Amino acid sequence: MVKLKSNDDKEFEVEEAAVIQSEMIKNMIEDGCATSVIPLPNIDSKTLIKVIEYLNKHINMGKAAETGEEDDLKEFDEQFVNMGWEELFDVIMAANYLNIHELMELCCQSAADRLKNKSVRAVREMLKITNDLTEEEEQEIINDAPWAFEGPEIDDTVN
Amino acid sequence: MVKTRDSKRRKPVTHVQVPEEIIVEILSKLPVKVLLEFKRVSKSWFALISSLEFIKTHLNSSANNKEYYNHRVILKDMKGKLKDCSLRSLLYNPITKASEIDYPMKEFDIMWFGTANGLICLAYMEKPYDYEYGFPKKTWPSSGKNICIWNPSIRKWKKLPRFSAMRMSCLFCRYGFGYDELHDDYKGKLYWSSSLSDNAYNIDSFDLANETWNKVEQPDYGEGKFNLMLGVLGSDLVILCNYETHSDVWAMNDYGVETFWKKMFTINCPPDHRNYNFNKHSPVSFFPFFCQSYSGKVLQLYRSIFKIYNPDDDSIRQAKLTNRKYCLEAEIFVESLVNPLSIAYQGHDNNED
Repeated sequence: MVKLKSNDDKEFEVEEAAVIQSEMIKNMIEDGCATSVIPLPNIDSKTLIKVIEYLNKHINMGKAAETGEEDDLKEFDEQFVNMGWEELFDVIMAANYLNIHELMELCCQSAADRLKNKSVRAVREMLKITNDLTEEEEQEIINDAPWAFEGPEIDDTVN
Repeated sequence: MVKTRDSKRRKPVTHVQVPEEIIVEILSKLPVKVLLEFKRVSKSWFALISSLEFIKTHLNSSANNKEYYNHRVILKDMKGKLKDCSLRSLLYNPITKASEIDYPMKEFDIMWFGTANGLICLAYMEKPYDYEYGFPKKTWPSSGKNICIWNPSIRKWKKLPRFSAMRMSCLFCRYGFGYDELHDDYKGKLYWSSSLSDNAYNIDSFDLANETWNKVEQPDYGEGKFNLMLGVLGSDLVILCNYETHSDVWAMNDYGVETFWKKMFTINCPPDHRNYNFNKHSPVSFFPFFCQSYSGKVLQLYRSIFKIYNPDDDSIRQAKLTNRKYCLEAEIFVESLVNPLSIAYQGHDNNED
């Protein structure tokens, strides 16, 4: 078992087979740096619980194909990303920090799917980006491919 | 209201600067049209989406996506008009609707050579121009034709220099537009075949970078009368040998100095193949016009009908496509941000002739 500690001082025990899906922790274990509790200063307990839930479910990914559990896993993934935008982003940041490739792929795909139909204004708000383009620069971007800015109504909501 | 510890909500992580690697990861999963829109988000997004590195990352992500979200099929009907549809839909949905596309050579007759990295290499020339079964009735005159590289996803195109030696007069030649992996460039090579006589074909290549001609070594085909076509399967140049009862697919293993050919598989003729005869008088009755493979499946076009061949169980099923009359030529391309105007061209430029 490997012990992980969130930034709000909560400890979690995770099976080694599950936790080594994180490249970062795998390297720590291989280097013998995981003998006691591993502190994760960038991850809060709420997010860490989600990440551990994912790791435990995906523990035997390779076997899933043989035992026909692929559909089950697919369903789990669909349910898993069914969370709020900020919660999803917390998981993405954690997956990036812990270097869990599959989780990163899954959550970034979900983020992309949510952004796809959003207006530029909504995207800025969702990612807390300040628009620093001048009106002329924006017009120039539109003029370069005006057809890309036409089409069906876009979603201006920010969730 | 009593403030509990819990209600003092931690600032969401998104308030912190999101690392660029995460933005890249998310944006590389978006379709081209959305990315063109999102250039408007901020200066840094504009710079990122315009950068060559991101264009490459996005291309790889799209090309390797097993769900084919960003793959499209472009079609040419008997009048030479272009339309397109989603590859994913064609493979998995019972019915797919082809949509009109906007392209710069609408007033011209078009003949395409092939696709690579979302770019389509084609030749265009003045109308009028007669078609018979989608093929030119008479051969194209050597003058008056132009070659260009076009990216339908970003609607940008670039005219290439004329090739004086380009022999485009044969009726059944199939051109290949390659990607030069070694130099990581799409100027690559043009490949085409020409018929010498029954069962004898030449395959030539023309290097766009240094304008050299080369004869391409061919595999040992064995016995039997066949009709030869060139195509692209995955990233390999392939030869399609169409016999009366089956087609052999040969893949070129190397674009380098030495050429290796490997027979990939044999597609057996569907029982109703005579309905798809290209030419009733031709000894070759099985004539798939188009063939390309993704996840082992081969999409074929037999006289306006798309068929999906699955080599795993040797099955063939029909894909329904609406909003198009006849189409005799099709290509699969991946949506990309690659700008044809930024292609390096080292050869002699005689655009102005």
